[in-house]
Amino acid sequence: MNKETTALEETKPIEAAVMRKRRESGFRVLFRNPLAILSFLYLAGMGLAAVAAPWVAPYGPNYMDIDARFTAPGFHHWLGTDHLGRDVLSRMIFGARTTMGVSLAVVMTSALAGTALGLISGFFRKADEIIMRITDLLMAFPPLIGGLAIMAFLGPSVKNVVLALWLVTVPRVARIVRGETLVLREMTFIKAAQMMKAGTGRIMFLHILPNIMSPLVVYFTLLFAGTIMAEAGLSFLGIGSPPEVPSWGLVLSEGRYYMRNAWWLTVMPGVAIFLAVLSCNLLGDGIRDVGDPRQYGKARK
Amino acid sequence: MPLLSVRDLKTYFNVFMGTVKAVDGVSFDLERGKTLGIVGESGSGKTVSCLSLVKLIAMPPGEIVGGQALLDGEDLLTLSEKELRKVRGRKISMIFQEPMTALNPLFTVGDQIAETIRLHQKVNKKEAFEKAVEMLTAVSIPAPRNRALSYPHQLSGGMKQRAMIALAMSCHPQILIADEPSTALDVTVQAQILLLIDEFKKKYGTSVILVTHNMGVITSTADDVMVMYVGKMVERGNIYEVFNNPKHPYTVGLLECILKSTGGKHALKTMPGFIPNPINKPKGCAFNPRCSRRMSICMAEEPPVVEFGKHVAACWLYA
Repeated sequence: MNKETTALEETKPIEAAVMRKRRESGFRVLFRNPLAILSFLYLAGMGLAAVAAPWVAPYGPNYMDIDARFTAPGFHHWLGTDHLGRDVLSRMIFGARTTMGVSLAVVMTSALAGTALGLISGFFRKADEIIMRITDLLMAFPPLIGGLAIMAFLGPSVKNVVLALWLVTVPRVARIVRGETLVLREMTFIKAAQMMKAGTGRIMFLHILPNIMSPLVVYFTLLFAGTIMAEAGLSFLGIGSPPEVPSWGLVLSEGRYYMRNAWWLTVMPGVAIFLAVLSCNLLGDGIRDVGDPRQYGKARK
Repeated sequence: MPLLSVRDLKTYFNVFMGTVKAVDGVSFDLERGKTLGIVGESGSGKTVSCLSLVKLIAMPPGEIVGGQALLDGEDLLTLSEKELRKVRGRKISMIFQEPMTALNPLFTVGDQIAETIRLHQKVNKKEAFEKAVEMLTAVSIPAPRNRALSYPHQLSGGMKQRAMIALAMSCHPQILIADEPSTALDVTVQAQILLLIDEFKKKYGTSVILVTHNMGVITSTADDVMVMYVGKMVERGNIYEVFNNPKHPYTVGLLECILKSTGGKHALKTMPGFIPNPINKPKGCAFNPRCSRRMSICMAEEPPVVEFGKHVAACWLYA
């Protein structure tokens, strides 16, 4: 038996080749999907514009040129002006800061907290009882109504928007993580790992977490899209970001009275929200493939 | 002195409908470097007996109610979780029925074995990986270095089971529990896997507990055999004694059910009836409703364990 295997061992050239491409980079898998590239570029462009807003935007977000009220999209104002003569493009670029910033903050913090809570309740029965009853309580509110109530209580400010949306999303993330954990815990490879001495921490972070990561990351991209919409919704209802801090929802909301004679006031932010949400969903689809080892080393189409 | 000596092990599951006595007073000895086969139908408590040894059953609802499991004079059932982790992998390790799901799908086979090695031995990543390749070589996986870089889904069922054996044997445990290691594989691969386990047994002096419902597998590999029926031991002894001279009617029945290729066409013998509901076992001997040699006492009282030297059977016929 041993002679045979040593003979087989001496397949050096193949080995070297395999060693070299031990693992294809995750980005290559992601970018095999053209829609994912487009979505990524769109979101990255938005992000960059938001970060560099003071330099990119042609006007200040609150600069008013009363003489140029309701200018249609054109050379001086690419996306037109609103009822106070403010440049819509500039307001939207600054608005991207609020909208994307809020969404990013909400998704990142609720991802961390929700994953931690979900893992804990998936593993420890007593903690599970407590955590799940609290999430039940928080999830009993319809998402927007819950956010509305919290905002009405705390008053409009960007910080409070983040807090309100966070409270709405954390229980949902925790629920998903808990569910996946409970399923995975019963898998044979978890038992096998325990049999080989692995402790709870090791099982959690080395076996459970990586295995729920790919559905989770997809959920986070959807959550990002959902948060953009929720933030826009809160701002549209007038209890989101305060008037001096533009956000896409706010621009949309301010324009709704003039929809008949100044269509660009509602269409432009609407399209921005639509594209951002669509990109998130498409990017999520691409990211799903990155987490799946079966996608690696596949021939390019 | 046997390496592992289990006495009166009782593992119950408290479920909504009542108490399932999955393992109800099972005793057996495992000798150094020998194979103990545990046979029985599905649900007879074979797997639970093995998992109870290292407390890997879900608790609750599971509960180890009583018994003793002495390994090197140390009672495994009284150990704390922390002490048990020293036993797992190092002293007792296990391979599973379904190699398809026994490996983490997100890591390469080599990485998984290397991880386990690093959990037990102080070696760096590279050394651990080399050891993993060594283990894969030892289980006769062709081109082991390449395979170490493969993900589980890239291996066939037989290869995965080999990889699983490599993983389980990577820390040279004293006891290897093989829970139906060949059931999910086709017959030729089955033979290879059993041969491989046997090889390790000879090479490292590992003792093996082989759980199966296949009598053929038991005859070809085990030294001793224990037959279980709904959580109880019905017969135990040396493989030749038990197979040539079965005492308990259940064992007799099981042996009659083996398909023989003696030429003529006769129907495959089957045993009448089903295994009883474990929550509501029949009174007396659990096997009495299906037994061809039932007596009135069988329905009233539990049978005593009768000894014929080292061969024992729990049956009223010999009391």
